[in-house]
Amino acid sequence: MRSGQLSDARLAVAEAIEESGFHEAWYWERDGHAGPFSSRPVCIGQAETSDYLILLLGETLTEVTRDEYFAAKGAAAVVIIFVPSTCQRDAEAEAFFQAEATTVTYGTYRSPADLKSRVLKSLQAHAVRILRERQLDRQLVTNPATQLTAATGNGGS
Amino acid sequence: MAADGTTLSGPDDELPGIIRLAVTGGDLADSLFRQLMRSMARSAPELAADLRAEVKAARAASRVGDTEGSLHRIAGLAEGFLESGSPELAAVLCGVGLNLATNMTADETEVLAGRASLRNVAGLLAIRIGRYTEASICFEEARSLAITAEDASLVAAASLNLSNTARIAGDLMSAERHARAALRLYQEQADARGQIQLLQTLGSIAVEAGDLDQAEHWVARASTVLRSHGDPGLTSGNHHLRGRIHVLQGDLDAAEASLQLAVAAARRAKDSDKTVAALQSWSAVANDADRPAVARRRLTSAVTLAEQQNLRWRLQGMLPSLVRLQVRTGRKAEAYSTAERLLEVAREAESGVAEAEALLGAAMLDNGMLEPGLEQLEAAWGSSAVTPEEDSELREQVLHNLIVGHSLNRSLQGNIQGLADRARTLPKDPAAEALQQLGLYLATELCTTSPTGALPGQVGALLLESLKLRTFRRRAWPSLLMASHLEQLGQHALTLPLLRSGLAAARRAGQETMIRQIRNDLGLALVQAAEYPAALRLFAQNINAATVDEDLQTLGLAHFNRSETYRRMGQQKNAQSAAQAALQIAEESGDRDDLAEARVQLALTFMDQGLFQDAQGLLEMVVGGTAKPKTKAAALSSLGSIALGHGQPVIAADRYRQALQVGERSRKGKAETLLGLCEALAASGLRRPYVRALQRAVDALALVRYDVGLASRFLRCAMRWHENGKDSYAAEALAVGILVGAAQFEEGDENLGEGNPLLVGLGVAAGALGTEGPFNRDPAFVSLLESRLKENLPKRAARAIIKFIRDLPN
Repeated sequence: MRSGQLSDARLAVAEAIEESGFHEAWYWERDGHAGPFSSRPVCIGQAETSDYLILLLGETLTEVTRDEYFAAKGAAAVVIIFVPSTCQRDAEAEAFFQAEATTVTYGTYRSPADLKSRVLKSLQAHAVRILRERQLDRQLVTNPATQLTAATGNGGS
Repeated sequence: MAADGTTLSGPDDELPGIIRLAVTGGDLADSLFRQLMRSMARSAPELAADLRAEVKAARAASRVGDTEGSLHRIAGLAEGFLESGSPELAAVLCGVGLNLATNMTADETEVLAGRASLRNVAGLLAIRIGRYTEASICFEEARSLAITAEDASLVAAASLNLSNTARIAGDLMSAERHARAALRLYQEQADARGQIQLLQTLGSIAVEAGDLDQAEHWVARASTVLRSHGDPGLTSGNHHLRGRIHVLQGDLDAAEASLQLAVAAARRAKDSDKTVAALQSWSAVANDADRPAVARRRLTSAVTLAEQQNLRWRLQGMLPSLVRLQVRTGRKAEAYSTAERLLEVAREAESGVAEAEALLGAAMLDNGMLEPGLEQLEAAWGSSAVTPEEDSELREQVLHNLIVGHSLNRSLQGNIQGLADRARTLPKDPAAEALQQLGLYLATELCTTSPTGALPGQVGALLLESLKLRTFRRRAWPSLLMASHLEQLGQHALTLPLLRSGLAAARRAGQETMIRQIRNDLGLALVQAAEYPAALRLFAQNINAATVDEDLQTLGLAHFNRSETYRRMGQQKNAQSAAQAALQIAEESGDRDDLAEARVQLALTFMDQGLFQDAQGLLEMVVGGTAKPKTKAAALSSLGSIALGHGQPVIAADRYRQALQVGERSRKGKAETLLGLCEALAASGLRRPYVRALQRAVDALALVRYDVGLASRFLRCAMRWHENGKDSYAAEALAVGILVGAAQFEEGDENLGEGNPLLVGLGVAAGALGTEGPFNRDPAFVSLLESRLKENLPKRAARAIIKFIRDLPN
């Protein structure tokens, strides 16, 4: 969301993420750079290449935010939705929430401190699950996740 | 001369030796030359006849003093053979030509140009066998000779090759400098073909540097020249470059299309090297698009072609990726074979040996070849020790696989010290990761071994050491994760020092959210250790902090956990009061899951006080609401328990069945529910459903850690049925089997198949005695059982089980 009502919440989420010391948060208002280009592809590119996307859903849902959300989801990032406990969503945002809440983790929050605790708890639950799965999946020790190398040249001269 | 003692058995086998000879400038002995000619005559009679004639002519010219002409002829032929895909012939000619050149006058221009051409060809041959340093030396010599000979075309060709060699070495600045110099020369000579090659090379350098704008600039310029002077080979290069740009832009569809065109054009040009390169990139695009089978097929084609054409440097770049793709697509045996080939190629090239050994070791482990796989990994560790800083990342992976391999081989405990010492040689962060991994794997082994002895202490020390290698800002998070993981493994005692260390670090770093989370988890660990007052203090601290800034998540958890702590302390009123506070916060926050969990907790406190109606009301609300399946199952199970306690076994059985249908409970939760169902069915007198439920309970109990409480409930349930004479089913045998099985699992023997002699013996004995009456009243049975247990179990376990059976109430 880009409206001012969630600025404290965005900062709280970033702080919670960065308290881990291992994750780095990115959001446009703090981390974007002004320049002669559209912010849209930058935001979507960041969403696509992130490990997690945390969506703060307020009264409305902008098109860019929706695109960021689906870009991250399409790229198999972990997506989590948080909504303020006292928020009245418009019809479009509500429809989005009802559709997505069935497939992703979501939660409500009362204050920035409450949100920080919930974000950290979500990250912890997910990271422990990964740790456990990795250990259970120890039958395969070659690392198939490693990216393949593209050819380094166009052929010899 | 064949100074390196190369033996010749056929063109493919001898090729690297011949090329090496060509690169180093030696001549071929006459006998060796004749042998080569014969083998080539067999495989390519026309080429060999031409070659023989040309070489004879060149030698003859040399003998009569016409050395310039002969050298020029040989250099031209060598280039031609290399371009037409006959590196072995080019290599032979290089060796012959360079030997002739040593007898010529150095300052004659024609001779210098001929020598420059031959050094250039020798450099290209060196690249083919992965000898980049030698290639670079050859190209430098070629450039220097060409400058002296004032042959601009040759200077440009050598510069282009120097640029490509620098790119392979990752020196992009040098690569760009050489390429720009060559481009200027080609422009001066109006050599369109040379210009296109250089523009594409500059485009590739820009791609590798991540400068997409610059890459697009170069490819656009190349396209302009290509329109008037193109051929399939150069067209392929342009499509390839465009494909790589699309990949970096994230447009995989466009990349796929461009690279398909690149492959087709390279095939039309009959240019094997370009075809292989395009296939390799095309494969990478398929992998990026999550189509690993397609990626594998494409890369396999590229590798096959590279093998046929002896493109060693391409092979070395592709084989590691092919191993990984084969693993990813479930072709472990093929991966092993490819990894073996990679090691051969790496050894020939004398580079990348450590990586190849590491990959082969990993592939062996994947194929169940544990001992040789570990040996190969040891070799990789040794090879990477030559340049430990350069190979730091590889060493990290090798150590990771050594830990996994020893774990699979059940030899981890015997190698703790060696593995830990190796971890300590890594930089701090990877060392911390490796020690953490070692500690957590060992913690998993603790679940299946005796909790006594030195191992728990060693595990704890390793995990704490891993934490202390982190900066204090990066210490709290891994402490939380490790503790949560250990908690799930049931290793509660190990979590306390980790969380205390994490809490101290979080306090020092001022990480307030982390402090609250650790306080909560540390409190839970203290509850497990029955240190209730300390746990309550931590929950109270969280309540104080979270009240100030309305952190409802922390507040709700703290009250919920206080409630459970008081329950365990037997302080039922306090437990109820804390649960009510948790419920109130959940109502405020509007979190449906928190609300349902708080209701179940409050219901449990009511049940503890015998207030079953109040409990039932809350539990029914949870069942009728939208809680998580796990919470609903817990509520249904509790409702079953209330019904059973009130003499309503049929309703109880129904509730337990619903709880099982809702599912998603922990293994222990499921086992408890099944036991409840058995008890309800036993009380209902329903024989067939009871037997089925009992069998399901047997299966469920086999999956949970040994728990005296569960085993006792199971045994009592089975005995109650038997003693009431409801069935001839050998309840005792089953019950004892489960009890022993659970205890044995604790002792580390997971071989509980049907043929296990202990279980068979017990089954026979219990079955025979069970028909005469309840076994706990029969001294003969207990005596037999005791003797069997002592024969087959550690004394401590045998004693514990016998005591348990003797103490069973009638």
